[in-house]
Amino acid sequence: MELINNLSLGFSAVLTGQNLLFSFFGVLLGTLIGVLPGLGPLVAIAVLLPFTFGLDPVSSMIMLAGIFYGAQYGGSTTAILINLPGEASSIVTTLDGHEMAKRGEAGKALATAAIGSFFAGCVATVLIGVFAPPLAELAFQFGPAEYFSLMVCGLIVSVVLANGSVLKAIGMMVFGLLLGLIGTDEMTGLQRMTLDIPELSDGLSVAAIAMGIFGLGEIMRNLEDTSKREFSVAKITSLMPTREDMKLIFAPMVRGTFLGSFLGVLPGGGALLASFSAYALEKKIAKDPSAFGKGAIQGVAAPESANNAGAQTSFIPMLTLGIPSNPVMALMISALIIQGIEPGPAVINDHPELFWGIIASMWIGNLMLLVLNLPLVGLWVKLVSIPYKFLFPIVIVFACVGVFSINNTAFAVLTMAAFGVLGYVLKKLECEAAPMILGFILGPMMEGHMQRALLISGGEVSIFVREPISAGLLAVAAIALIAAVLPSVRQTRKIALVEED
Amino acid sequence: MRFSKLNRRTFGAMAIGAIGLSLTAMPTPAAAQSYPEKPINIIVPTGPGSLVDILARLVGDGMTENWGQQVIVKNIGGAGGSIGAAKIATAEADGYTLGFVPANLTTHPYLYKIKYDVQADFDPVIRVAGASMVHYVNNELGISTEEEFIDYAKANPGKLTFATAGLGSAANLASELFQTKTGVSMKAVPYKKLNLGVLDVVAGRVSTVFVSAAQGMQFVRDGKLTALGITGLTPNPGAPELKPIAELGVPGYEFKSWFGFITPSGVPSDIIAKLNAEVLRQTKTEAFQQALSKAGLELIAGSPEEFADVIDAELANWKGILSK
Repeated sequence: MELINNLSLGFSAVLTGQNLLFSFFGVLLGTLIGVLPGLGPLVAIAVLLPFTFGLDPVSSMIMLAGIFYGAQYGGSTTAILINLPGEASSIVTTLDGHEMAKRGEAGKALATAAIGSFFAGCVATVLIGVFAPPLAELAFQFGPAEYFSLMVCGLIVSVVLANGSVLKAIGMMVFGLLLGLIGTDEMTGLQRMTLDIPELSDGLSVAAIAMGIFGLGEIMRNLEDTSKREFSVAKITSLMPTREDMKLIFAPMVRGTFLGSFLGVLPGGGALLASFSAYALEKKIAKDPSAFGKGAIQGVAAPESANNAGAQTSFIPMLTLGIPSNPVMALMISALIIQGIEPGPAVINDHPELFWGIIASMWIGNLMLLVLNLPLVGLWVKLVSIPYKFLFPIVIVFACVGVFSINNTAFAVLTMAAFGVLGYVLKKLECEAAPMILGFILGPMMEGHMQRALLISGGEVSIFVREPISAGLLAVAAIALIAAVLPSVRQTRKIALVEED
Repeated sequence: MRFSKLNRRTFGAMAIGAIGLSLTAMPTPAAAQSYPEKPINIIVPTGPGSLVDILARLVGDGMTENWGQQVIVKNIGGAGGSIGAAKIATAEADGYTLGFVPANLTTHPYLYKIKYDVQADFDPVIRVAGASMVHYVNNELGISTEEEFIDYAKANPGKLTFATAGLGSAANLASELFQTKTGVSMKAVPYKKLNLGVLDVVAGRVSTVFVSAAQGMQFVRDGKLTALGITGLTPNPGAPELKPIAELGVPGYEFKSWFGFITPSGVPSDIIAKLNAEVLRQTKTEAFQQALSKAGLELIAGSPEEFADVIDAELANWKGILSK
């Protein structure tokens, strides 16, 4: 009952003309950047961040959240119609979605993706409503030792789950931790690796690094690709899936939703991991795995449900613990801090209209996306044909303005440029940047918690295993690490990843 | 939105700069009469969203409305506010660049590598608001008075811990001053944001904290923290029942945070007076009063001279304590 009361509070916060408009703008923009390749939700949110200052917190958050999950929808549209995933989390959708389109079932594939996403969105909304408050309650018991162990656990799990080589993922994570060391030491106030540059005394800016690596780096790589982007847009015929189709997709949708919801909560998880895993799961349990890759409708339903569910549930650790599970959530935290709200367990009680408003807006946003996407498919596809030479200068300009205006310093723009180059190099070396960003974000938080835990315990390291919650979290981390290096597990991991490629 | 403001500002500044060039030869005896003729920048030495920033924007919006000139708040955070303060110090002293700074300005010379002189490089305009803090202690220690606290701390040297928001933060300064005045020794536990630190005091992981009434009195009402005293000499509206620490066995103890407007030094005194009067007017608005009471702040709104005296006194005070 309390859940219903809370949700009705959330709906009353969202169902104002202004907030509906912001939600609509968010999902519209999200769909747009989801459709356009090389432009992710991260860049869009980073650019809009400084502009959210004048908004009230609820409007600002529902707009930014709309961008995030709207991008999951947009990405699948182009993945199905022209075999071009607008968003990384839609890569697996191309496998069967585009095959369906080639078979003349583009409409059905699009509808499946939209229905799957909508279903997942609704379920994930309820899951957040049910699980976030008790988690926040639990978080009140968290002291420095518990937070530290939770972050160790998160970093290790994210490495184990990363795509590609574990060694590279560990390397990237450690590199991120090192970057996080730059700045003033919290304990002593000493400057570390700041090279006497005053702008570095508060550390590097997350927004500048993320925009450099995921924005500029991506642009450079796209520019390098001189092959003409030629594609045939598949014709859209009948939209609605038949009753038989609905029967076929229901179970994959449910499985994808729950798998995605679970993976979204994990640090380093989120939409991308969710879609890959859901696809692999469906293929594994299918009666006829050979149908996958040749236009199996389940291969569209499961990952599309999973990526949307994962995108939404990644809000849980951010809103309840103040811990970002991915770079987009790190920017969301910045957006909240701009509003004078410190993300953490107190948000649910201190700002219930904000917390429940975000959750309610997800449901409304998903409904808008459903209505928005299917009739406007033609328009979205046309957008893809905008030549890249017009697109990328606009993106760069917006990125520069966005990064500059966060702290009114040109230094941030230079940082972004440097990390753009680094991002390009990392792509060439096939090193995934996600563990690096996560290390960078969690590293300083982890260090502070460790210092405080040791101060409180009087320098006794045993505090991390003496506290039961902390000990449990460290045990999970140890098991994950051992599992990752065990030969038998390594084998399955390899196979799973090969399948996904 | 902000982008368009920026554009307008740059354009306006260029246009006015051009006019100004042709007029420089003419004497301008009453600078304050025509002031302000172009947009004004308020530099806030923290990131957006801090209390300083929120108050600066409230005053800035009111000034924009009243004067018909854009007042733009610029966040230049970093290094305890010393990066922003350096920008204020080196800006042109024409009254079009102001700074809105918190009380730790007077600790900059002793905590950071800075190139400006807090007395010589700034002109104080007005100290807007401030607050005393409350001294809280965790319930489980069984301490209920300031004297018991000091006895306990002296009997167990180095055992007690206090939460701070890092070097130079108000919580840290109040605690340092307490240690100096009482001779007790406690360990600092720094937090990025003090609200986590307060929660750790509530949970008993950390022993004590000096923090605003707004951030802690709710836990006292819930029976989770004990409030021992206030850091100021006058009653704190957020905790009117508490007595000053100075009257509870620590004579001479006084700590109050404040926020105030400064300019680079050399701004004509009639412009300073005009600014002082205008900010004073803005502090009377309902929105500003609400923001103050929400944050548990008291209005100070004094004269430039009063502000200058406070800066001098605090600089001298911190010199003895921080440059040990």
